[in-house]
Amino acid sequence: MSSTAALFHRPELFGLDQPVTPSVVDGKWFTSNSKKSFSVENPANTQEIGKVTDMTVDETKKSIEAAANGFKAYKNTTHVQRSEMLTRWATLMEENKEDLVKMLTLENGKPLSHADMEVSTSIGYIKWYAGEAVRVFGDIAPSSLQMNNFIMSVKQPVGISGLITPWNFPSAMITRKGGAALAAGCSIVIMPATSTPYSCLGLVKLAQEAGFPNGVINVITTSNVSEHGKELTTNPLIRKISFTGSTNVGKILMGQSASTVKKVSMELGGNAPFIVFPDFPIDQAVDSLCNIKFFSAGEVCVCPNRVYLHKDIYEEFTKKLLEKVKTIKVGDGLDPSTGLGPLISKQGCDKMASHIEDSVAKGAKLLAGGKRITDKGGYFYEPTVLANLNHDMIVACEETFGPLISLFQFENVDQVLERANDTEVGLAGYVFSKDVSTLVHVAKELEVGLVGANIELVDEPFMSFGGIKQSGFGKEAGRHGVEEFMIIKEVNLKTH
Amino acid sequence: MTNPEWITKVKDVELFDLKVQPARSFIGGKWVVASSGQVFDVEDPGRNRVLASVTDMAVEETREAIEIAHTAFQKYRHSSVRERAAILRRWYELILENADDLATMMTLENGKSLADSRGEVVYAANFLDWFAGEALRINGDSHMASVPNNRILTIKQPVGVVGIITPWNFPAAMITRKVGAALAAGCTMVIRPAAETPFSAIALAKLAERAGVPPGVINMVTSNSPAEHGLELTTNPLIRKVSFTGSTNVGKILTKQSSSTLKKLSLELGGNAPFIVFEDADLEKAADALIACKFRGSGQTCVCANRIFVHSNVYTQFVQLVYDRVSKFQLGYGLDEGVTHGPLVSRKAVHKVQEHVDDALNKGATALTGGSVAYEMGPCYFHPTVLVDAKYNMLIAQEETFGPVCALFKFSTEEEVLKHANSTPVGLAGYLFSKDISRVFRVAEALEVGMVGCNTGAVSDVLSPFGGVKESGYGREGSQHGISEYLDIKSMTISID
Repeated sequence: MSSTAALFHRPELFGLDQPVTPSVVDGKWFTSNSKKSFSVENPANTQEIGKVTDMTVDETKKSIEAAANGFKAYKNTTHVQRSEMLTRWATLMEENKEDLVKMLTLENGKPLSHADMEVSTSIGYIKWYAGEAVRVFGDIAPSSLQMNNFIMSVKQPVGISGLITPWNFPSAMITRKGGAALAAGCSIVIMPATSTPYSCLGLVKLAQEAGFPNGVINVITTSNVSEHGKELTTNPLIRKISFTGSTNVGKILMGQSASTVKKVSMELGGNAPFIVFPDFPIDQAVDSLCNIKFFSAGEVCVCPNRVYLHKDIYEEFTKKLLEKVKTIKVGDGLDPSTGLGPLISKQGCDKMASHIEDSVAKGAKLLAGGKRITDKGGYFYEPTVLANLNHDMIVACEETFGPLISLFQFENVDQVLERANDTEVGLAGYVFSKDVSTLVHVAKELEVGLVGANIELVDEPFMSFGGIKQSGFGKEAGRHGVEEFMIIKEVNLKTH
Repeated sequence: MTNPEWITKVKDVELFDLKVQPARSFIGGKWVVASSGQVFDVEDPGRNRVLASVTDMAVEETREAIEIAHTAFQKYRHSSVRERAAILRRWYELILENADDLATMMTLENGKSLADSRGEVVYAANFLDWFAGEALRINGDSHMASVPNNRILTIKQPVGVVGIITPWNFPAAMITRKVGAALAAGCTMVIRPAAETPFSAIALAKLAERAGVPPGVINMVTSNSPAEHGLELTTNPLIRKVSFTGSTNVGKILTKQSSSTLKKLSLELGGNAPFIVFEDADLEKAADALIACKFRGSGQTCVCANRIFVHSNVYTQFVQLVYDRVSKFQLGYGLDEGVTHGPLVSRKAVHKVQEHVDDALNKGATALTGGSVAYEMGPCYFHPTVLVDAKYNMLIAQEETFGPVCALFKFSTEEEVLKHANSTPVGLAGYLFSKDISRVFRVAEALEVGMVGCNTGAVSDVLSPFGGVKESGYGREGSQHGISEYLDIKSMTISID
């Protein structure tokens, strides 16, 4: 057994009992006819975790056909049956949580505590959807037409759904989309990010153990997501695409989906403003900021990208922030004392460096960090604080996606709202103030889909998650999540 | 053109902005002509003549309208819902007060019978009344949170400036169904009506103005170049949402164009409606329903029965009932007394219908009646046609005819007819006739469409969600879902620690 396999109670959960980890289509685990595989790297030390089978486009086509076949039976399951399968899946995830958490840290790099939060959230989504599955209601409209009429609306699953998921939440994105689709009665084809396929494969193995029939959940493992993504978006058997990832790729996928008029959900990049008013306790605001900023190394679509501090508290906040940042321990995620793990790749570090360079060249002050950490062997970057930023700098309009805190000053609420909203995207925004009028005004006026008011949390299974403007459309979790995978059919029944 | 004969049929010429030609566009609360001075003619398909000219706006002028709508949005988004409801309700009343003129002009520019036009005007008005009520019901939610000191609230806010692209077949209702929802939601908009039927749009804009819609909230741009203006609406970043009703092909193009700015979209595209008559159907009622469903607007509606499947045991009987009814049609000029069916909208439309009929006849169908252009009335008149022995290899089985042609197919089993009914990439409406309750539910659930009529040929009610599945598009209009299309949901987590 490899040394990686030895880390787990159940290495077969991730196919680590074999030389190449297989993928799964129609309930069968297989390695590709291509005989090719791709390597999955641990970003903390660049060592190989294992090899995963590299599927051909032909095999992806077959997986879509398998999903179509699986759908024929699955759409006729009752909502109670689907709910029970989801509940069993959540239970199996609980039972195998330690393995799931550990693998998440290995392939993504985030500290165990962050991975634990993610897997807990992941389980939370499945439990939520188990409840949502039995709450899909249609309705009967009062009929204005004629007396002997029922105008019924029923909801039916949209069909085979393609789910394209990112590397930053390799577990939660699977369940937040997959759980909704399965609750709705859809069969799915999931394509996880090339750098983080193991969490997906482990989850799908557990789903199989939970009793989801063959063909209902299929996985595409590939080193060429662009090619396979095109198959998903253009194959007419797929009726719905749900994507989380970059805005640029979202535009491409939406364009590709046009030729078969697919329903599409997009959860794309953000440029979150984090606004602190002078009447809010500074220590608490600093804690909130650090919690969310360094969570998963800042590689999160709802991460604060621009921190706006009222001029009256700018100095004190900065001082307290720097004290806090000093205490953040960078290291391998498997070390329980680590507070900040590596970024996912060298490109992630390059982007950090270029944002910092650009800001400093344009007059920003580097108050902490600023450099790559090269003596640990992985993709580590120092937690960094930049001050005196302005809107000419790249950080003002592009997601950094790393442990960089960019501090801007503001004078009054109108000014900060104008600046906060001066961006094409709109996923999350945060506001801190004890004054109810200020808080409500800013929460309403921020052009985003998610607001954290006096809190850095914007994501729970009970609430609808999604952005506006060029952060995309469609909602996940909450009361609207399952609807995304359904169609409304009007049935106009006349009697006599 | 001084005092053309048709203008005497209209009481209020100003309603169509025809005191002077060309009729104008409505932008920023003003009636404006294109700075180029260009105009395009609007034809009366029933009399093969030009009705009047309308200003032909350039793409730059659509761009300006979008900017004006964007500015107006900054204020309108904060308007009180009661104000919006009051405007919608006044607009609804004004439409009913002017129903005669609206119906007359609709028949003149579209060709449909006056009875059909009158029906549409009321249907169109009803959407505004409906959304006046919906404006007051934009409810958010409060949710439990997992942490005791957190509160989760979701609110709904207008998406922004909306691009609305509407077709010629329901020149009033397609506008009010979208505009009513958008206005109720707090959005501003730029409307591009079909060039064949701009006068209904012009009149609606006039009445909106009279109803007190604030300047810049509703902008209506007339032009004869749909592709160019469509491209502006789908690519201008100030527009956050596009709502389109029209052909599937154009829908795909607009979607692709919208991807570069990730616009929200509603698409209501073509259909290929199956109309299934089972052995146990009430045949007389089914025949009545078919007549209404197939021949409304001379077959030029997206929910028209396109393929009529009749069980072999009742085929001959049913065909006779249909033939008897079709024989009583009065094809003629829409404004004339007693006319039941008018001309098609254009010569191009007629050409497509003839193509379908010829193809069907070549492949073995028989025309019991009709099958050709009624040239003696004019080039846009097509004889209502009944085709028997229709087969699946005919164009009429695969494409919307959009004309007064009733093609009847035979079937023997429920399984067989469902397979054929569903073997099409589109799915807008479907109809079934049977007295058996199990069959009714089974077939309704199995049909891959967005709307099913069971023992009725009507699926359009303001209260019921209108829209398709598969390549007929997505989004729902009317009903309690219609306004959601124009709203963003914002989830707020508040800590009261």
